[in-house]
Amino acid sequence: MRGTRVMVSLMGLGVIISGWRVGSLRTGTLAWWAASGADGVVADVPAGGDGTGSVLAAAGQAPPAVIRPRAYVNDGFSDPQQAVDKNPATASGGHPGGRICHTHCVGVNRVTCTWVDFPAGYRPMELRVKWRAGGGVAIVGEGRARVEAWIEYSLDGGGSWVEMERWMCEQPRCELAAHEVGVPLSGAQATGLVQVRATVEVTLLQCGDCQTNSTNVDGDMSVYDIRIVAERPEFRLFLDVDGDFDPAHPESDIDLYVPGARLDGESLPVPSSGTTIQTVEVVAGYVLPDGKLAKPAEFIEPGEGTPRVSYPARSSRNTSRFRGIAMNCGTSTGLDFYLPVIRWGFVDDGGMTARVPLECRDYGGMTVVVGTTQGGNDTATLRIPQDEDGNLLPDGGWLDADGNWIDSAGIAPDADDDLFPSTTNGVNGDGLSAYEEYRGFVVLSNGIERHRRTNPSNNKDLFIWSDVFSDNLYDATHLPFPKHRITNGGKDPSRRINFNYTNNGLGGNIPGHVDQRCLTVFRIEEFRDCCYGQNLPPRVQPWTPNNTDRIEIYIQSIRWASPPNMDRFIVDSFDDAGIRHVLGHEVGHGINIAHRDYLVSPPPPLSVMIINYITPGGDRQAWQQRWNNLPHNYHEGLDIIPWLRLK
Amino acid sequence: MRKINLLVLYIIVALSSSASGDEVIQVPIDIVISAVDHPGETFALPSRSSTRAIYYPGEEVKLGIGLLNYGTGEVWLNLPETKVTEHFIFRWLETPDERVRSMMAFEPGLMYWGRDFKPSARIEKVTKLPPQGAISIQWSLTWRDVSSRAPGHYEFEATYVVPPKLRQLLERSGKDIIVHGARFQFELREPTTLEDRLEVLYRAAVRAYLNKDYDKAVTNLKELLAIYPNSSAAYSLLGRIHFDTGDYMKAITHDQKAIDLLASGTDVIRLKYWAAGHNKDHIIAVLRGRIEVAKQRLHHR
Repeated sequence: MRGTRVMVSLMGLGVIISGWRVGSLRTGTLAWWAASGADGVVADVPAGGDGTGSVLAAAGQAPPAVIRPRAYVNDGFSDPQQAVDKNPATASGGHPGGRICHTHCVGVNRVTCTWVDFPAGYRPMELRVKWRAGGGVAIVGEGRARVEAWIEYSLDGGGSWVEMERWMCEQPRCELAAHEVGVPLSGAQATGLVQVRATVEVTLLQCGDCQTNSTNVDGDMSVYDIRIVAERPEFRLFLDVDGDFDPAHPESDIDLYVPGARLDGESLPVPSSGTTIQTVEVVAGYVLPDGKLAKPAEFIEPGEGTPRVSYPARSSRNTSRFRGIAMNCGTSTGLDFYLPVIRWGFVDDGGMTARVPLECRDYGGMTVVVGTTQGGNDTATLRIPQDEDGNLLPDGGWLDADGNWIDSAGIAPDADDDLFPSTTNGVNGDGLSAYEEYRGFVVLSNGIERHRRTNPSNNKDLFIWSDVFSDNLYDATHLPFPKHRITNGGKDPSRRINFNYTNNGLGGNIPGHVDQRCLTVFRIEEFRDCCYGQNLPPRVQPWTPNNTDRIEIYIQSIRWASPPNMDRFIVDSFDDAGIRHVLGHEVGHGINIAHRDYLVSPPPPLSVMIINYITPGGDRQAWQQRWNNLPHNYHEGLDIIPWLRLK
Repeated sequence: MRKINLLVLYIIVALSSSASGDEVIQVPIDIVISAVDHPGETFALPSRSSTRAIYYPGEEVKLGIGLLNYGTGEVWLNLPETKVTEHFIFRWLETPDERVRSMMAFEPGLMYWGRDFKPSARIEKVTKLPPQGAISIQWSLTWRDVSSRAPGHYEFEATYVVPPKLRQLLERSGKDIIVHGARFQFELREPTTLEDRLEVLYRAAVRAYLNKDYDKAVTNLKELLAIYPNSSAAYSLLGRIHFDTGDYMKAITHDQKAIDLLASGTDVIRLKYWAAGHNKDHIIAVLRGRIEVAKQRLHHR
């Protein structure tokens, strides 16, 4: 787990629950479910909950935690475990045995038991012990006897003891007395150091003639329940992306999580079938003040039932339903996060956590998981991905196609502010909103279709489909901003590359969407008298990716112009360079970059946008020399004024 | 949905691994549809921008169905002698006449191209398609009764369905094929407008020129110029014909005439066709270059 920030739990929709609330004891069972949305959509919440504050307020009504010792040091008690077995009908008995003067003379019989090892880490409020004692004394002559039982506690692991309550009987017969005693504890008290000791003793105080006096005494003690009432641990949801959640050091990956990506930001492969990109886990646990996890079984009373988690509705009210899985991939309109298992018990990690697998089915999906214990005692929400600033973008940012980490803070989801390269039409941006750039695209990368996110504020992104066969984009590669090659699958029939912008679930349609298209470059294995390539349709101006329906590269026309053979069927060594050059040139037109005319005096700096250069001219030697030095780059400062978006 | 026969039965991926771990390597393959032996539009515009070609009566609709291998390894195309497969699926999305579906027939011819490929080579029974390579299988889309061709827009989609058994086989070896289909729109048009009639004559001239039937080409162009004397395209093609036949003086004259018609704005039909100046720049550059070469050849005589 790479988390660097401890997650803030019980946090949804900007509401943070802090502090500890302890309410009246209430019985119930544990369950949990998923719920509301950042846009205020009413979620699937328990009756009485409105998806935000009141649900969380319900957590305040949860009963306090009750913890008991887990070990004892026994010196004469029977069944010491029955004092801590959560059963009020059973008790640990202390019976030191009777004492009679003519046998024992003056002296004491005593048994004791010390209960130790309360679970550590809790914030205690009160120590309570239920016990009772009884006994009787038969006095003969000068005899005198006594039965005593008392409860003590230690706050320092047994170093010093404080008496809680004492009972004593010197009567012939004492009523069996029931006791319930409590002492307040400081919240700072370390529960692991608390110990409780019970002692019962019978004492012959005076026998007169020990040989003949038959004064006797007997008594016993029962300890029914020893408990610390403590503040209830915080019920919290964690996200485990990489399968290394450690209950001993619970950390959530939520602050770094981006849907469909590893924690280092690298997108996971596009699913070859179905829509599930990755499976993460939502982990529910009770967090102690020291940050460690508590075992629910340790502090939840039997009346609350067996802790279980569940998740009720696979609902579009709490989960987005974007079309597809990325801006240009897929058609599914199902839930973007899906919990295949709806109920899960606290069974892992020795009962410390309950885990629910969660399938991510969209690289830009969002959901709000609400976990609630059965009966509604504990509730926590988890917004996935984390979005504390409410801009719909993951707080952790994302990795763009060039390996830069994008900081999402301060970015509006509908913004289209790509500043570089600047343009001459006064319109920045590449036609893709920040949310679209975050959700990302499926593009070709080293012969495989990969998911890539883009940069929303610094780099314009151009998408190109081309069947001019090459493992790159020929001279269009030299455009100094990101180019993404796509397949037929990455565009729709009208060449749009962000066609999946609708969302029938949480969050609604992508804000700021405008249709943006790719450039399509066709290799035409034919001859045209007009030119080596052209953008179509010709009547449109200016040419932008949205306006340029297609670019055609005429292979035989280029061959006709290439030295030395100038034959449309003969393949010359210069042909490939010519095709590269023409492709770069026409793609330049596709983003409204103009010509540089070589015949102008003085000639402009060479660039791939030059004209009257590769066509035959001057003497043959000079012409061939030009083909030997075809410009393959755009001229920075002159040519790089791409129009990817109009007003 | 109309399913047709096709030679390509199996596509097998044989590639070097470029992925790590247990990731399935997906080889993307695009279907590309293109108009073959089509001279493009010079005078007339398709009525929809997405329409890729206009055809007039008498023109054969010949299409190239290409397979584009984007992967990093070879793709083997198994082309057995058996003729039937249902893996390629052609679906008509739009047709002005439902009868066309049954009146059309695809007749395969073969060609392929791509990196290190020579055009028009014959496909072997098993063909290895290199990375970034492509194969195109050429089809003639013919009407059995040409007179019955209904004018209007046609659109069809070609897809390829990887056979389940092959997919299982591939997945076992950690590979998979993703085939992306393609759509193609074309238009059948009666030559009713002046632009259409010019287009028909110009195409006839181009086809005659490409077949080296220069007399017929010149006849067509003269007929075109009789209707529209300011056609730079007609003069340009005349210049090219004379260039190819070695009559460089005439070539220079016609090419210069074409330049003048464009530069002066006299060729209103073609200039109306172009809103942006790039196209005009392109053709003037080509003409200038050809004039230069013609001058050189005259000089060296």
